[in-house]
Amino acid sequence: MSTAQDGSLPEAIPEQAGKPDHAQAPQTNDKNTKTDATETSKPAKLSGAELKAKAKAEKAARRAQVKASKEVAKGEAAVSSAPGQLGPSAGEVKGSKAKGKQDGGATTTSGAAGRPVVSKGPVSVTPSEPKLTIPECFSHLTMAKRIPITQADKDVHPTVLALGQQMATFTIDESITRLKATLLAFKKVIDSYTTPPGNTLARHLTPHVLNPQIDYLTACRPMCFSMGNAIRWLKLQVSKIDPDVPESDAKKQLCGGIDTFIQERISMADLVITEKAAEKIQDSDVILTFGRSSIVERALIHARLINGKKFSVIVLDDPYDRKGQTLAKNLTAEGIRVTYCGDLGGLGYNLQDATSILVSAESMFNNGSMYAPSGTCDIAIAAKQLGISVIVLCETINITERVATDSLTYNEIDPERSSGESLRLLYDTTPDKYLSLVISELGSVQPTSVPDLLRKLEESN
Amino acid sequence: MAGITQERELPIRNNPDLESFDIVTAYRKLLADDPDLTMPVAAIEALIEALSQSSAKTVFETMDLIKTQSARLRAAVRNPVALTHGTDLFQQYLVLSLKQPGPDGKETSSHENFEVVRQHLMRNGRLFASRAKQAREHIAAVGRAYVRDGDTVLTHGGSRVVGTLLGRAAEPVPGDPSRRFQVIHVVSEGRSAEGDRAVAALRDRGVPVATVPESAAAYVLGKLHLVSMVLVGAEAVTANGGIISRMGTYQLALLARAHGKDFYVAAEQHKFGKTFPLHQFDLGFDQDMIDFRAGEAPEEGDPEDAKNPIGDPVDYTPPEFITAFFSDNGVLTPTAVAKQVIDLMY
Amino acid sequence: MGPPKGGYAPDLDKFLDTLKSRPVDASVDFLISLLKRRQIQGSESCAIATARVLLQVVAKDKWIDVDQLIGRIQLVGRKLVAAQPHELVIGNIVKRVLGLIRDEASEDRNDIANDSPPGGTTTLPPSIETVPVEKSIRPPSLAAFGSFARSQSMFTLLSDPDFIPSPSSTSQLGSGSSTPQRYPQSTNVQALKSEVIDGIEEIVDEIRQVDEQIQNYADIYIHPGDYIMVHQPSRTVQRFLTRAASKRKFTVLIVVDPSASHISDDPYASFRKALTSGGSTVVNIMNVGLMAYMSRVDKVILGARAITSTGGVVVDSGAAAIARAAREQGRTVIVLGGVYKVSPDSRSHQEAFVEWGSPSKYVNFADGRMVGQVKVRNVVAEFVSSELVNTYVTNLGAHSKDHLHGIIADHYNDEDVNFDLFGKTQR
Repeated sequence: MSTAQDGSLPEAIPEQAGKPDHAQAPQTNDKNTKTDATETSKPAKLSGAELKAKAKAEKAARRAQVKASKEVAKGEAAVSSAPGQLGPSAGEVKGSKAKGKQDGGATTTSGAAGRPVVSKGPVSVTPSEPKLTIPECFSHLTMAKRIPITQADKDVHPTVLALGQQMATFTIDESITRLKATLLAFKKVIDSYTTPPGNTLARHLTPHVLNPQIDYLTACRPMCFSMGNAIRWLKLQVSKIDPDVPESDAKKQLCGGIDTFIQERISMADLVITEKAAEKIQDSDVILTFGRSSIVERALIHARLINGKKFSVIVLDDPYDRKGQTLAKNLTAEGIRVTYCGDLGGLGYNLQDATSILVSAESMFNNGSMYAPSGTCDIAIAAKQLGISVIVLCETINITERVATDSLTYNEIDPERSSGESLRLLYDTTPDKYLSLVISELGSVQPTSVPDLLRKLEESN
Repeated sequence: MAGITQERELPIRNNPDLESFDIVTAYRKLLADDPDLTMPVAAIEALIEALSQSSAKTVFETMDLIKTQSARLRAAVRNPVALTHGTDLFQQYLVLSLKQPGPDGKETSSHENFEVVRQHLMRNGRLFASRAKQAREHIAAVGRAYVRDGDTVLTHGGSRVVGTLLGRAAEPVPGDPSRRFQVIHVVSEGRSAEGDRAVAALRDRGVPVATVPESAAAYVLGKLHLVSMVLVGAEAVTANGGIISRMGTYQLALLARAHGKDFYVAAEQHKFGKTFPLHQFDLGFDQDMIDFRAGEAPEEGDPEDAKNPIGDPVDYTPPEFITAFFSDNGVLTPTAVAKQVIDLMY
Repeated sequence: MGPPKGGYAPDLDKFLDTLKSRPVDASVDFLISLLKRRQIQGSESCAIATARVLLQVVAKDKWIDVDQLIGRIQLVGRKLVAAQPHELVIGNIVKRVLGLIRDEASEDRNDIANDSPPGGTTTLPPSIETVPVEKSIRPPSLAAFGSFARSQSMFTLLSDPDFIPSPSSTSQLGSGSSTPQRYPQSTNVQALKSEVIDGIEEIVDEIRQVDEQIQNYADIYIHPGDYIMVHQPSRTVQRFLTRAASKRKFTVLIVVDPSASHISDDPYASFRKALTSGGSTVVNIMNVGLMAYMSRVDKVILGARAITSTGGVVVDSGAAAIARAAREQGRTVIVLGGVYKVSPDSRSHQEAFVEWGSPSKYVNFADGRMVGQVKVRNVVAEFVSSELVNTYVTNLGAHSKDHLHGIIADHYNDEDVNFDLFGKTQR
């Protein structure tokens, strides 16, 4: 969220931006030099006497930074070995670099985890996976990795260790669920944190405590965009802690902040979206959905139980996943008529009865395209052809300032079903032209207006 | 249109035998007497009458007569496309009869053969009109399968072929029960009479019909899962598999495409012809539809400037908007129509 | 699921072995039961079995004239089509054999051209009732004009009824409403029989040689460095790509059947070996949504179960999504299939081509809540409309969709094209 798309605006207040711009610009450049010097220098600059001025200039700084880092970010996305490809944006990635000095392999974590050839650190020599040679044309994509707990960094908190395993095994899978679990785990990390003598929390917590957790999580499974967004937010909160505030107060402040964040951006957001989506469902509608998304499920059940609508649902499923079966059962349990089709065979036929498509986004890109489970785009294309609306549910925390031009810009490889001979992508990118409506907690917009939501959020912050 | 204009330049000579006969009058009378007659068939009938009235005997005389009389007909009407397709078909039939072996595969001289054909044509004048009507029934049999139970068909105008097709679809045939479907009839303000007849005929048969104004066509097509297909008739079918049809057809075709609906044309083969328009204003005649004005109404009695818009305007729907033709030769794609025209008329 | 990927189904071979020893009717019944139980499945096997059993009908049945034979073939054909209405090739083969008989008979007739016109009327069962069309509609015999023949119907309007030897004879419009007796009884039955048998043998040879012939076009369409996506490749597709891989290196993305979703047992192991030995790369794709890959893919190659006269293609379930994605991304879609798969069958609606399979493919029957309350669908074959296809490669070469009707004109007799083998059996 911090790097706003409105960097392109010509009036990006130069005089305010001046100072922080300096602070930021080297960071983005140094990122590629793989040193941790910038990381330590950053808090130093920011936590000085100019802290208040910095806070005021924060927004302008972000705008300016966009200018400075836009090219870098683009380049990063294009380079196949770009670390943290799925995760945090420029500033965040740097965090993992700082970590690099400790285990040497962390720099390759998210980007190269799947490629033993490139990786050098302990992460990559884990014996849990056999030789994986992802075909050259997909080698730039990221993949989750089971890391034996024994090989994790010693600084990783037990809660985070457990979470990492859950993510690596896809026990926790949805973007919003992963985000919430991560934030709750970080609360525990902060709770058990004690600032070593001679350090300040604001300067020490992020590089020495949070970053190892983040690196570990990223190594387990590439971060989703919402995690990147939230972690960037969290680091900002940490950096804003006044050095004069007692540690216990600071921790309380941070944990309280996390609670509010979860409340506003996740819980309330989900509630609002569920209601708004349910309102879209009318009697005798036939709603088609793909796989199982918990927010889609809630919206459908809300429409049935709270709004009392009588409609039916067609569940199309990914046969490798079959989570749609759970959805089908949960919906029938609430008295909703369900038709289930285990794959996308006869898609055109299945769509003939549908009145609208309801899906949830793993993420929305800045150009209005949607990142969602692989197969969603195929359904949207067929729906568009028949004039059926595609409704996307998406919490604003899932919106990223990045842009994906196709499904191979950002994606994740299924570690379970990929080998030297086979491949499965977890996601695809649906261009905005196939989508009709994005329902977020801030309101319902057309896909191309997604960046405007981001800007609005940023301005209200 | 190249062919037509070229022929138009031929001098129109009066055949001395035909002084008492006026082909234009005959053509108009045929159309007036039988409202079921199409323009191409009426033109053919008129040519046959001319042939019967004349003393032309030889191949040359006969062909010359056909050409001059056809040209007269063309010159007498403002929109000659449809009748030209009829006269061209007639002419081509005679030409080809010169090139083929005689009946029963017997070798005959081309002139003998020509005479047989000529005699046949003159003898069977009224047969062709009844055949043309039977073609409609055949089209109905072909197109019927495309109207399914529960469908909603969007149509417009008063096409006789479309009317027959929909009427037959509502009737059961042995082994194929009648189906329940409904019709949305797009009514054009100025020309509602023929539409009204079509609507009444369908309603009489128990087919539910909704009428909507032309301006509502896009709105209606926009209703999800409502309209299953668009079905129209045509005045003439062009060499590339497009159609020339009542004004507003092109608009419907565009809307159907925009909404992903199939667009079908029901047309008899005798409407196929060599016309090849490149765009709306390449039909070979002027419809005077566009009349710019400003300020007060123009002075009466200024005939030089006054536009004279055609009474029954048509437009051209290019083949790329047409899903298929229901013809008396089965279901044809526009390319298949083009192939037929190339094979026989070129 | 789908046609057998390699070799002929053992059941086909067994069936073919029994043909000689069984009476014709028993063979027909046996084939019907094999088709119904899907023990013979896949377009190639079905086509060969159909041709072989019809050959038995021609060879062993007692028929005294052409009309009787045609009637018999139509009757057997209907039963076979009814046994497996989704295999369009069965109907195709029946109609080709019918056309073959007509062609041989009319050659025969021309040999004895001066024969007196036939007297009797048809004894064939009327197939479908059509709206009465004047029977005498028939153009003058322009047959000599070859390619004109098909278009002559434009002259229907003007044609001379007196030109026809027997005025009540036929409807060129081929509604199949009646099959006139046009073939003199004095036809030399023995000579005709052996001609027809030879013709059917040729059809069988043609079917068996399809893969061989189609692969000859491989280097034209597969280029070095291409990324080719195929969907559950049939033997035709496999051989096509294998041939290309012997000359150049490219990458093949194979979309596999999700129900065989274990990495360990690769159903395309030998195919993979054949490709990789030439330096090409092969990746099995374990996704059902394929748009994700389309920015990488240059060409999609699909094997057809059948091709309709308007260019629509019946494919294995899942291939339509690929074709749609390819079209959206502007990628080339090439359909492979023997000429025998090009069907004159023109069903009016695409849904007619959707074939349903057992719902147990992905849903466990033990899962009571799924089985009891949820309506489970599983599609086995679906339809790709012609707009999504760029070109068709058959054993005769590449064709555009607009000219598939030319293939039909060359391989089927007009009178059989619209003969409804299907409709009757549906009642």
